[in-house]
Amino acid sequence: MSTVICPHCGVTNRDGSNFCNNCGTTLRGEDTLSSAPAEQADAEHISKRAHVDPTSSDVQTPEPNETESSSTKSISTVQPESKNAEPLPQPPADRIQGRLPSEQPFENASPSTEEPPTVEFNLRSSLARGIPGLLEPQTIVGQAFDQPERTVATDGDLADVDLRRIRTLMTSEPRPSVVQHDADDASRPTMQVPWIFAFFGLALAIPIFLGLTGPTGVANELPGVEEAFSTIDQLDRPAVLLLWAYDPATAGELDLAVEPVLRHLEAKDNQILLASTLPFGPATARDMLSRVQDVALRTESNVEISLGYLPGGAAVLPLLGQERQAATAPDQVRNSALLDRNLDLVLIVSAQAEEVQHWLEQGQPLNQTRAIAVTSASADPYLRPYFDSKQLAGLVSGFDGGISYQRRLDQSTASELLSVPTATLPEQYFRQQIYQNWGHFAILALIVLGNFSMLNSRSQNRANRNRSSGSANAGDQIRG
Amino acid sequence: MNSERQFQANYPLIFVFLLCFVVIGTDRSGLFAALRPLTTVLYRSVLLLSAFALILGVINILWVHLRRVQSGQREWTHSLVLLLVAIMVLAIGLAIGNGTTEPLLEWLFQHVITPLQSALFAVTAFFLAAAAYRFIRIGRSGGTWILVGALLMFFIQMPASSALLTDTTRAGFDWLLNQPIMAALRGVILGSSLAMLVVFVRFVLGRS
Repeated sequence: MSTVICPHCGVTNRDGSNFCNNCGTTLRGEDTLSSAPAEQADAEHISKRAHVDPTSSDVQTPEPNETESSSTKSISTVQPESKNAEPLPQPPADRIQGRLPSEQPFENASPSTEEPPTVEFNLRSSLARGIPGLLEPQTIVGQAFDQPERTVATDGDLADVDLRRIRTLMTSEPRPSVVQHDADDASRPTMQVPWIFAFFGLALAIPIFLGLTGPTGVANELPGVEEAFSTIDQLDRPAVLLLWAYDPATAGELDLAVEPVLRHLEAKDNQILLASTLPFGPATARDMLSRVQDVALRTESNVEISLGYLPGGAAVLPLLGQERQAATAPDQVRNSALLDRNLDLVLIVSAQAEEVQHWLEQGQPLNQTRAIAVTSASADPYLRPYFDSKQLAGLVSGFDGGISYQRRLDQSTASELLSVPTATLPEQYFRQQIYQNWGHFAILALIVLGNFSMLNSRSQNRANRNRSSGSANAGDQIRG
Repeated sequence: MNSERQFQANYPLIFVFLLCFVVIGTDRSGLFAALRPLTTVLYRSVLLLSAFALILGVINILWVHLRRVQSGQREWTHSLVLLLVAIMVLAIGLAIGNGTTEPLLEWLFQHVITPLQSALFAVTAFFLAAAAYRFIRIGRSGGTWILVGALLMFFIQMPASSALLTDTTRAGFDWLLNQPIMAALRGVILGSSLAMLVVFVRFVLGRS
């Protein structure tokens, strides 16, 4: 039986077909590929798998957990070609068996008396086009030869389970059914993720639960901390625009960095205009400010105006720079004089460098107010050029920046004016140094272990290859 | 044909972009102070549009997850939990009347959201450790350089390294960070910014 190969999906159709039974592409007048005499297959086991014993009574289901419904007809295996039929062209190595076109679930054709031709289609094209490829247990990396034979449903209405599976596959990301492990690839050994997690967790849990007091270290004071301290120290009852751009996810680092700065500002009896470009920013800011201020000593919070969350990101920062009244709702204002007063300082507290950059680009050119940034250590390299070019009056970054600022605050006279004693802060910083050291030790150890593992697996693979080549040579010699 | 259709379709975008560029650029230059109210209106419009976009985004999320629950897709229970929590928090904020400063919402934020967000972000450290074990290796392409750089940075940034390094070594590492590495980083930032600018211009002109 001669066949025609569809140029779109590669499915073999009966000769004379007007349309492809798989994807519906018209075959009339197309430059379709007709079946050629059998070619030498690159992978012989593919052709062996294509010819299933018709007398076999094995019945296999596509999914092990799938149950037959009353609407599902009998399930049959892939039928082989008859002995008198022209042999189909053998597929190359990357092709696998697929669904027969006459057995597509969406076709209500009656069972054909002719033996349906085997379907061979390209793995990649079947994943990219249409439904049939999605319903087969595909592997992204060509391990199709190791896959057990799958059978397909015959014609008839789809069960609800099948429909749901189709919808799930159509709307979800494709997943490989089998993860390929190439034993010869020494650069990609198994990860042993649970052991890695356990090792890292243990390295962090030991100092916490045992209460270890070391190792500590000395904070590395980068340029920018001293300038930030001196800038704030020179202020007297400043009006501060506090741009809050971090949320609880990064509060572990930023809280320690911003707390001494806010304490210093509080010692100067500042008035705060609070705004945030993150939804959780205002709540995080209120939490930190309540920690810094001692409500019992102050009759009211020094947050005079809270603009809350301003959607729009960088596009609304010019509004804060030039027309603060325009960004304010009447119920947010407790001291309207602050809106008319020129700002003395802009304090940008951000976990990312982008927020600081946005203010320096969008807001600062409009009011020329000095800006100090308190950021995470990872944002420091991106903001260092702005400090070097004097666009930032100060830069306090990460744990080291917070510790350095706190040390300066403790040594200055401003600490006497603080409403909340700072006796607990040094302990907090020392604990952070200890945990950070243990975490770094653990990651360094994992890097070294990973390289040892890779070198060890390489030597083992080399030994295995030598052994196998040696046994092959011995076998050849015996046969010779 | 397709490129012509795209070019015609971007005419309104190009017109608005050029108009805003001229108005805001002129205002920023200080040549015409009378343009300040107009630019303020533009910025307030952005604020309003962003707020509406946020509301639309929330509605879309709720709708997508509602559809997932209705159709019984994979992990639909997660979607159901998301819907219930979102509706609960929304109802609390709207019904009580104090908005985000309501004590109940503050409690939810301090005792539920904050620990959850902090814990999720802390988990990334474990994946960082696993990635360091797997990818920072000599055998991989470019792995030797990455290994040397990673070991150097991890060792330098450790607080305990201050006791192990001499002042000269520390100064050398600081020079390495501030000079060649910073120069390379600035080049990357400049290049990526220019690339984004080019992509934006191509998008506006319909040449993407």
